[in-house]
Amino acid sequence: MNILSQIFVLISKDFRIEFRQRVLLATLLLFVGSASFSLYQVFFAARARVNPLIWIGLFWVVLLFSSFQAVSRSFNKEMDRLFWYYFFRVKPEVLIISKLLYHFLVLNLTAWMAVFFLSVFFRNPIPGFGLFALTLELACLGLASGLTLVAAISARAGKNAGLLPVLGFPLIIPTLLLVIKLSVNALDQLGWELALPHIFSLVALDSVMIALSFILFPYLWRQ
Amino acid sequence: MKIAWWKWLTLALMLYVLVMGFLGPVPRLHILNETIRNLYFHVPMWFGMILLFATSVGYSIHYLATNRIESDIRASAFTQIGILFGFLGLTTGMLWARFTWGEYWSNDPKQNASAIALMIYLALILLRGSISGVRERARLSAVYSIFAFAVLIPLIFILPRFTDSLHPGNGGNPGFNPYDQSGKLRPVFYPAVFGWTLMGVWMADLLIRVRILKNIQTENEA
Repeated sequence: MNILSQIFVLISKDFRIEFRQRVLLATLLLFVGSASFSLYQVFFAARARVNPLIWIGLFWVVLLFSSFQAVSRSFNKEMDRLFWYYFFRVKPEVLIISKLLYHFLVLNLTAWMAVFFLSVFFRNPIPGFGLFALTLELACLGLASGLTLVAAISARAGKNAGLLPVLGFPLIIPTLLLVIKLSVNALDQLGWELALPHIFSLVALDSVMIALSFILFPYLWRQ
Repeated sequence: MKIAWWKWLTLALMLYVLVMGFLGPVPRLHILNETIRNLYFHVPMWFGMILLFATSVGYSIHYLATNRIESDIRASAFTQIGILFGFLGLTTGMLWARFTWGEYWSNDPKQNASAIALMIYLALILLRGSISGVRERARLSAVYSIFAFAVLIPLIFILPRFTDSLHPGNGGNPGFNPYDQSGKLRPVFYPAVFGWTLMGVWMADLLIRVRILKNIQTENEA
């Protein structure tokens, strides 16, 4: 099998397992849904309206904490006994790329779910939707590239579920700072020109993280 | 007492920096006044920290390439001293900020970046603490440390340029040069950077020697 079809098989395997067990989907629905619901209750009790800036703030908080849920379990199976079978069949580089893509897709699901829930509860105040959508995709890419290797490390380190947020949070702060600025740009409709430097540095940051994940993952894989 | 030549150099530099730093002439500056002396203590901490962390990453790469456990011991010792320097840099900076900018914390991008840097390295310590196997611990922490350092570089050197900062040299503020037109600061500042960095290396060196000896001891017992 060539590399592309290997990657495709690995990703579809992850999605098929997810489709059968629906653990991740349930987790995300519960997490994003209950977060948005309790936020709605707070604002309802205070009889306050959510202005766009607060909407953005709520959105990033919901996405940030849900994203750890989204990637936390995905390496557990690889670290199991199946690992020994993979070890002979799949190159680590192929596995990390498939995981990066899988996380990117799962984070997309999380992000759009958060947009949906918050829009249902608070309406959607974002005027510059093209830039906001791009920001969202860049955020998913950044979170995926920042958290994938860390998820592998924390899965390797053992059953400690609290490790991933602690290891991952400081690493995604640069991404977070940039996407927050971009989303506020989208809110103020400042246009693409002001957004471009941020987009470039986000892409550069993501490329560094992806390249390093690619280089470093074989060392995690090696027993 | 027989110690390496560079340790004598460190002692001499530290003595010089302490005496000249507190007693030597400094330019009369608005707002800063005598706090400008903190330049000899606050700024070298950051130079030292970056250098110590870079050395640590170097040893992490060396560990992954060679699997020598000594490299892991070296990497972790340099990390720990780097964290110490980071905390000292943050503390001296916050005290300085209180007297010049008015607040201990002003959400300055460099303040934030250094706080995040310390979070990253505290996470590394936590990671090391949560793994019991020596080889596993060495490998995982080496991988995390290299990855984290690569994220840290844009955080410290690139992102602050996008935002306004109270620090000299950022956001339209003049750099360090206007503060030292009389040239009184440089003769102490450069030796201070050199001396504090050597001090950090010395501290790490002590940690490393103790741990390598302990490592040999446990191997002999086993």
